[in-house]
Amino acid sequence: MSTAVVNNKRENKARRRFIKPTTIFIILMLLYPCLQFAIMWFGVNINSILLTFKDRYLEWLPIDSLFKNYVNVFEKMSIPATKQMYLNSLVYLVLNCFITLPVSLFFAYFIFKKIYMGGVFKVVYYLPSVLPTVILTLVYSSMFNTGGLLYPLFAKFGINTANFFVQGTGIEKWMVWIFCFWTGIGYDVMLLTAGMARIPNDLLESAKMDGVSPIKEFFHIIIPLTWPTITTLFIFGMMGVFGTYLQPMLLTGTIDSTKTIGLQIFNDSQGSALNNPATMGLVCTLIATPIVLGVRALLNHFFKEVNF
Amino acid sequence: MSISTSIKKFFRKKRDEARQVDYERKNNVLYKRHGGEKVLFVVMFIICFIFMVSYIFPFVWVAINSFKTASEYSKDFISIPKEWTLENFITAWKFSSSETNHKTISQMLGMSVILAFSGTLVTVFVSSCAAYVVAKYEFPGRNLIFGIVIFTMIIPIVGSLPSQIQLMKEVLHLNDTILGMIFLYSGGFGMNFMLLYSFFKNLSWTYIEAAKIDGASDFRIFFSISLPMARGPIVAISVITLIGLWNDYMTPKIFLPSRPTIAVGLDLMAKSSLDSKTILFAAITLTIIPIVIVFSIFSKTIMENTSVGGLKG
Amino acid sequence: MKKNAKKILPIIGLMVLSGALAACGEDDREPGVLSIMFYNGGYGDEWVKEIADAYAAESGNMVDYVADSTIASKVEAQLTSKNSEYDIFISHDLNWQSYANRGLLANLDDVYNGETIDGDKFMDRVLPNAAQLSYFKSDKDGEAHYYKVCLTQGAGGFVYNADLFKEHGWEVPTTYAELTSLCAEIAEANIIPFAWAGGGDTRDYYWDYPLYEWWAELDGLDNLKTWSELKGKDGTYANGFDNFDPDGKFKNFKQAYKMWYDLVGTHPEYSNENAQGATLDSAQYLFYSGQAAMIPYGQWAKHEIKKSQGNKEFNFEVRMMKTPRVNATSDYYNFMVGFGDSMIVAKNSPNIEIAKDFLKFMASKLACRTFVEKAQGPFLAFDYSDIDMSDLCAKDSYVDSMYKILTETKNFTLSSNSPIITGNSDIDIQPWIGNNRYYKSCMANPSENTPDLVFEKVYNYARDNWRGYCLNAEVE
Repeated sequence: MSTAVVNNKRENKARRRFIKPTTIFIILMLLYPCLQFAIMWFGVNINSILLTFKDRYLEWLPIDSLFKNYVNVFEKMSIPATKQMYLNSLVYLVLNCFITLPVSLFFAYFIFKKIYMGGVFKVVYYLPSVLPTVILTLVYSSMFNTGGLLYPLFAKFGINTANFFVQGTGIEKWMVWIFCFWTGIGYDVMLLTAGMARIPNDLLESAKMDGVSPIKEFFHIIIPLTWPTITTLFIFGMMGVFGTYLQPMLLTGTIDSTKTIGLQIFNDSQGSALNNPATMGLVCTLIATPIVLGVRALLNHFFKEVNF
Repeated sequence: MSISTSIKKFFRKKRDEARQVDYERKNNVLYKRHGGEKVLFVVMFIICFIFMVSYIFPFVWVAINSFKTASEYSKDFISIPKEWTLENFITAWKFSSSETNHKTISQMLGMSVILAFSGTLVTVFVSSCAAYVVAKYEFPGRNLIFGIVIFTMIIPIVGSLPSQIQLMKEVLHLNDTILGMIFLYSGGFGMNFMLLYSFFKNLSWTYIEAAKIDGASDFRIFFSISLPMARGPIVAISVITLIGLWNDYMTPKIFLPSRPTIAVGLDLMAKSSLDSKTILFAAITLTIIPIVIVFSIFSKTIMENTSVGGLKG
Repeated sequence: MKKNAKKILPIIGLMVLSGALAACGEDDREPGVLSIMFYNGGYGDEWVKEIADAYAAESGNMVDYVADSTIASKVEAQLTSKNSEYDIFISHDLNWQSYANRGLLANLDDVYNGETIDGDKFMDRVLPNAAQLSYFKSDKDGEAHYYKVCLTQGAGGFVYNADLFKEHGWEVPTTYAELTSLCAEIAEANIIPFAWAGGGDTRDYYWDYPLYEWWAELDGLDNLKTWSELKGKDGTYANGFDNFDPDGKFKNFKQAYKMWYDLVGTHPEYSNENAQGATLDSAQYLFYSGQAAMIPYGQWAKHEIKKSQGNKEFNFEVRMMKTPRVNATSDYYNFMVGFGDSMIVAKNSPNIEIAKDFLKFMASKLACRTFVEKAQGPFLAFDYSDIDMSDLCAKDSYVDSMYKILTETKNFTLSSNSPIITGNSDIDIQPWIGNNRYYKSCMANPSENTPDLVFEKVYNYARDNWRGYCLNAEVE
């Protein structure tokens, strides 16, 4: 009896001695990342929620109008300028997911099929992804402004490109969209060609032997087999609804016709009334989360069987 | 090895690669094209080529104009400079104003280097630590951590910026400090975590067991065995993170206003009263050149790694 | 790869090191040295230097100053920091009412109750409107105080080439009708009547100045003042969009636009070619080189245009005319451009007392004269009636014209402390709501920008978006 106890104790001691350094190791390794995460995720988001119940001087709202900020956000949705902002943002979903992505898919296919100079195309298209957006916008807008390369070209047709970025011409939003397409294509092409490169060669070869036409090959082999990449890029593209702010800001400045949700939040965040952007952000999160999760589930549902 | 031979070697390698692709295109059954298909490829080639020109030409134009004198540029902004001058570069290099917080381009570049490299170093290291422990050690709360990480990555949080600003300013007092920037960049549970987690998860444990039996401590094992084994994915995520941090606009713009990085500083420079646009062009050229050189040397590494890192989301 | 890495590492290390060295070396503030940040714009910086030197000589306090064109975006961070790097901020578009509301600005009552070095009461030196505009009740302590000092009393309208006028025997127009016939004459002489810039860094808003002046004449100053409160007919802010009714309270501004439309909008030959897309540089050059007879501008015209042309003096006499009247029998009006510009003092400044002292010094006769001389034309927002300006006027014809405008016309401002304005500081509301001006689009397409169409758009915009402004301003 007594020996057993002693034994047990000794064992405990031994285990403790054995465990101790490993426990310390685990704690030390996780200490910083967990702390940082606790502050920058939980801290930030809880504070974000608290902000939505404060007034513009960041004092608590009185209990009878606790949801004033939320009411404001929804009430403002009926105001044309705000409505336009939401619409402007949604355009990026269409642009990213239904224009940039399909076009990239198309380009990626030809590069994958070893079009002449395909490798060079891929590298060059990717160039905008490694340059700061500020440089891209500066170069892009100086092309059109007076003293730019395209200015005299268009001037011959009586078109004044210097006005392309100015409010009221109706062209300014096109300029931002074209810019986003122009700079966004490289990243998509790169990921898609990488996805395509993983398609087993013998599969394509046997399809070719069977006389499958390129169009059939594209739709029935390439797309299903790169579907995981496409899904990822689609979700990324959807997030552009909230994430696009820098391009309109640097190209046109904050104007009604190009303002996005992201830009509004970015601008408001630099002021003092932090309750407004926080509330708008939270409302957007609540709306976007089920949609994004739903779309993800839906996309994963397609070609579910594909796995390689 | 002298520089010239290494350059020669570099180009020889490129040429060999091109030749190989060419050979494949000609001889592999996959790339044999007939009739209509050929036409399609020619048309696509032209479209692709035009696209490529649209990416290169504006930058070339900016670079060429940065060698013009201001007066020549104002008269003629299309042709090659008649009189090449480095004046713009000198002015741009020395330029600083209140708008740029009295920082010159070299200081902005310095700040970019500091932030991008130290941020990458810290976040990659922290991610490796977290991923390694969560993947390889049994401990209470492990599944909780992993679950939370997955959860936070799926939820698209919009507009946490105001709260972040308030926290950084009023609680942490790290606003406008380099330390604060690195703190913001130093997250350990993002995409990098997932990538490294899956790597460590698949890593064989036998090697480490052996080391353990030999009496190596956990730290020793981590630093001298596990980390070196993860060199591949670590290089991959470092490259992507580095590019991301180098190009980051929002974080330094908001959290380090008095010491602009190059991504923020060029915008400030464009807003200050420059005597001529050619100076801005020179500044742009100055900042693009190193990026383009690094990119053209490492394009393959960079692009391969982006595809690895970008996909695991 | 490995070899490459080995080679690159030391280079990277070196870069980091040099960057780190370059990034260090922040200056600490010297105690007792007044520090001013001011807008880097058309007034230049000679005036600050001169006044700061004079102040230093007078008081023994050193003054540091910096010009910045992004000042408006920097003030907030400074005011909310522990210690502001600057004591005084001088600029337009400062969101001072919001800062005052949050208790970030020093109370300047002492300045307004104090005396200048000349022994005058400060209050007597300030223009009547200016004091009123600077008095504000903050939400924070619920009391009203003075929080700013107005910077300039400017003038806006047509700057013209007096030599060219003399040469061709053109009279300076006194009425709109005369202006109309003059433009025809000028165009006939193959000279551009108006050079202006709608492209790039657009300055199409320079056209606002004559429009406001015509509006003021048609509406009367009392009406204009009520208008700028932005209350509806029923006295509530909720119906404030009434003010944009083209058949009601906005009728006269529409009329002013119609005058512009008839003169400029439908006569492309009266403007420089492609004016709506022209850059400021090119418009300035046309005027500077004598190819254009007039240029719509603010009081900083002479200094700014000269600066844009490599700081070379004009080779002709530049003047600003009193904006031609709508009716020959009424008074001349002048819109005091820049009257809303502010000088504010940070509450977290360690040198509040020195800053206040400096602001009082600004009201002195010496400073008032220096400003006109060094900024070449603009006047500070203080009373100049006791100051002998004759020598400066004799020396500089532009100053002379400015002096005449400020003393011989009815001066007015549109600035107001209406909560609709202060609660929407990032949005332009009056009078071109949403910052939509129609000068450029009219030049491109006159038939779609007739006064009727434009003001219908403006009214609709105001009505549709008004609720948002009220929500932002938290008024009912």
